[in-house]
Amino acid sequence: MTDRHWLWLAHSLVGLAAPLVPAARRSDWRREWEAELFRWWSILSPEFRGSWVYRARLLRRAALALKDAALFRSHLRAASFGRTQITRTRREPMQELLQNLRFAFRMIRRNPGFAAVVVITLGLGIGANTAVFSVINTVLLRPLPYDEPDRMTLVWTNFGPDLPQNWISGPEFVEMREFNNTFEDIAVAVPSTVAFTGDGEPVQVPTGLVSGNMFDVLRVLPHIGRLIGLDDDLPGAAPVAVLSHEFWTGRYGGDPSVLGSSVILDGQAFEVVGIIPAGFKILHPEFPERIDIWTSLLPQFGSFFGGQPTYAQLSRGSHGMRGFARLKAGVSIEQAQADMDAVALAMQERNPNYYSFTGWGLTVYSMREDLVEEARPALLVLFGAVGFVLLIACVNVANLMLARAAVREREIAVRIALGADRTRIAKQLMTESVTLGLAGGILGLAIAFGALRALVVLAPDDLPRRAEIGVDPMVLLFTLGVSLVTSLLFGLAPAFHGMKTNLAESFKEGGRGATSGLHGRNLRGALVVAEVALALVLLVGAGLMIRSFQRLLETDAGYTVDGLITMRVPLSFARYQPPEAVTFWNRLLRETAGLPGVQAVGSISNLPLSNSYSSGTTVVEASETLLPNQRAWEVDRRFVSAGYFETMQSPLVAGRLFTEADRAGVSLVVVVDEEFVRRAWPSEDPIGQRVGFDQDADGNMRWREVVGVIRHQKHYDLNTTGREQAYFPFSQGRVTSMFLAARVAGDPMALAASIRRLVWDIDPEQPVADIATMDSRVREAVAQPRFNLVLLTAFAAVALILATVGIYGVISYSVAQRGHEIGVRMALGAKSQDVVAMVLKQGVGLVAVGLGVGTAAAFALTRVMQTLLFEVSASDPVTYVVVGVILLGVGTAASLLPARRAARLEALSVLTTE
Amino acid sequence: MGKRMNLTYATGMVLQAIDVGFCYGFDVMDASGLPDGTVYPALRRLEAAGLLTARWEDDAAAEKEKRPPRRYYELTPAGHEKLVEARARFRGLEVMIQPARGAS
Repeated sequence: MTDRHWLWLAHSLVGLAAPLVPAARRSDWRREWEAELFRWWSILSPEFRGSWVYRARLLRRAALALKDAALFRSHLRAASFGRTQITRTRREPMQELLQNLRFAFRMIRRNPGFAAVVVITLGLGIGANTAVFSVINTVLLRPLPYDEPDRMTLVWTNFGPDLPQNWISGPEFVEMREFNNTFEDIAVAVPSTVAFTGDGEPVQVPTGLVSGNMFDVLRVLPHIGRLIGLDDDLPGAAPVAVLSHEFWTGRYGGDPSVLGSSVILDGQAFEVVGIIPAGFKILHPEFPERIDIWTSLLPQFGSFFGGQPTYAQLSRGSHGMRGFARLKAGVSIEQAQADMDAVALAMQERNPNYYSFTGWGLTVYSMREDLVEEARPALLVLFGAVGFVLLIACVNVANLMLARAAVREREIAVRIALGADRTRIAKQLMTESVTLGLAGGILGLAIAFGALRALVVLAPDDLPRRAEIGVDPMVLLFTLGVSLVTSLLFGLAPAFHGMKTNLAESFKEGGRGATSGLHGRNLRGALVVAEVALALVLLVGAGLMIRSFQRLLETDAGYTVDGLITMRVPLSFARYQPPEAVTFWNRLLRETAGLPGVQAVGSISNLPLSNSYSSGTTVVEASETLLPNQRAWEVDRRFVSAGYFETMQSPLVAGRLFTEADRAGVSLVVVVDEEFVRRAWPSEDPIGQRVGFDQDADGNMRWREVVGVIRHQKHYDLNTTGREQAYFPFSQGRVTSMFLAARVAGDPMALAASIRRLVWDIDPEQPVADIATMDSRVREAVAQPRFNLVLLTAFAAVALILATVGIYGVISYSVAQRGHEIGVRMALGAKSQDVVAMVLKQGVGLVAVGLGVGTAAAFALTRVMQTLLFEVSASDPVTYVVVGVILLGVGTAASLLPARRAARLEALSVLTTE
Repeated sequence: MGKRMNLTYATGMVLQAIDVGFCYGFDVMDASGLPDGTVYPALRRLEAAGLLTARWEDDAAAEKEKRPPRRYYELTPAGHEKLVEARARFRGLEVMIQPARGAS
């Protein structure tokens, strides 16, 4: 929240009070207060405005407006100005409110311990809710930062149920643009990295490759200079680059003279033609939010396929571009989808051989929906869970209020006897609740600020718009609303009881009034049941997450994680042709193997868990089970060195691994994974089958023979199985940029510098990027489930503590209330263990009912968690049993204490005090 | 009403503060050091009693500083009389609040 927000908040308080001021003077009154606040705030130095002391002072001063407004009203009412007359005959709502408020504050001051417990309990609940809501508000609710963001969509190709959300190839992009009628325009972009050689060591920087119309579709204007345009897509266009505002200020100090100069990217000179505005980012599930350099897609992407000059000439089977499309005004997603269905059909008619499989289509998603689709279920579950925590807090507070209402019963009875009407008493009690609730809200806001920092640190890197998460007016409104609703929730029961106070009972010496009688006991019992039930739902949720997380960590990834150092050495096409790259890699691998401590070393084009992907349509020559039109589909393709599988310790299932003998020029070979075999040759021997993905110069498929079958490797994360995989010797493909992986004895990170030196010995301008142990990649891959786990467990722990305190409170109170009865029983010969048993029975009975209700609720509610769970059913019996036992144990312990206290009562002393 | 008005120490402080040039609500608050909650009620009372008048600051001045114009308070002749009375009654009032430097 910036200091403008604080001023806005102060002004809002004034606005809140304004209706109290007579209409004739209202606007003047409001202007005066706003001007005073504005001036007072704006002459403070920024340092003060940033401090909590002064923010609190600002709000305090704004709160004076409320008092002033109330005063205004009473002054005008009085026949003459000057003396505030409180007329009891015609009760003014405002006066009554003020009086109630004053009374509420007096009650709080009289019993600060009670108020503190209530405010802290509520503060924790509201704070946690505010924090989680801030995340939801930013990630799920805030519109995307583009012009008319609702018209922005993402377009994907659909390659059947196996691959419903695939990227787009060059010719597909051209045809989509040409055939559609519902989009203003469609653009494509690809996230990438590039070696930036400035002064000093070469670094790998995140880049975005865009089609010439990309920035028009997003409607971004340059900060200075120009952006990538349609002309940059033309054959022979000079290579140009646009810098992000952040990169420009960070590297060049924001010097505008950088325009027209050139930067060296992957060894090639690019002219800097413009700077994109600060904060611009592409919000796409596969794009990093930070991109430093933007270049034109076609020359870069084209060079990958041998310098194709137009999109239409690129390979139709090479999907890599992400589609961004802006709807024409007034067109709905459904209309666009219908239009794209027709486009897909037209494409199929034009290329019947390529789109011969069933399920071909084009899919349109709202850009925002697509972005938040993955984060949404977890966030909503967390929001639900944190809402439960607040409910439990409410129940606890309601319990406290009820217990206190019992104490105040006589006071209330006296007031009623003296003529106060019962509605008035109820209003009075509600005012107290709302005051406490708002105080809890303020504390909650402070807690939320702290909690948010922790949340943002804990949140997985791929949580969309993570950096933007914060408190804004929307969040403040939410907190205010939650505080008020909370006050109603915990305040209604006591207020209701206040209205029903039974005068005769309350005045009786030792009498048991409304709140301590049978009815009050039932109500408190119901609260305990609710509390246990709510806690059970949360504990089950947390338990399921823990079980799921365990499974996740134990899952067979297809490789051994420990002791691996990995890094990316992105040789660029601009500087290395495939044969030279082979030489480079062979030398690097050989020299790395010679380093002390290195046990094995290998390389792969796309390392698992590295956010690097590559796939393409791959064909199998023959299959007993697949029909001819099912023999080509999208497969994850990897190019690896001999020794890669050994390094990763990936189990070989059949056949052999690659050796140094699998080189260019000899017979072409491939290793596929088990999933591939399961799909293509479930009933045949895969060894000796043939697979292809490219053609030779004469247009004949270059078949590659399957020599081995490897265990499937978890690539995207640990819970997704992903596509079938095919591995080729890198010397038999056209790949230059690869990851190096080395298995090391001892600390893997210690070797990173030595390997990087080897790279620079070969090529001093070659950057080494993304150095990480495999262990840390796994940690990052499980960041999202861990985030859910930590939060849910924390909420469940709070719920358990609150529930324990609640049970203990209710049972203690009931023991105190039943002291007389217990005394009589003991006088009549009950033994102390009988008393313990009696109290325990009451406590455990309530807990048992709560468990029953909670189990039913959890059964229904945890369904929504199923998508977050890995290899654990939402109705996992182990979790339910363990949670039930925990709650029962805690419930018994919480009742045992008061029970034993009851058993120690001296019959005589109890009976004589009454 | 003005004549019968209770002349409290707080009232005297407010009158004195305005007289020496603290003519805005918050300035009176800051200059007098009175508890926050007492200044505005006093201003309202004094204004209602005719001891103060309030005016809007010149738009141009505010425009120049890019802020909304403020409402400023002045003593009426009756207010001046009251201030004389207050100074007589509460010694040290003039010492407590002295003219602000640069205040008009």
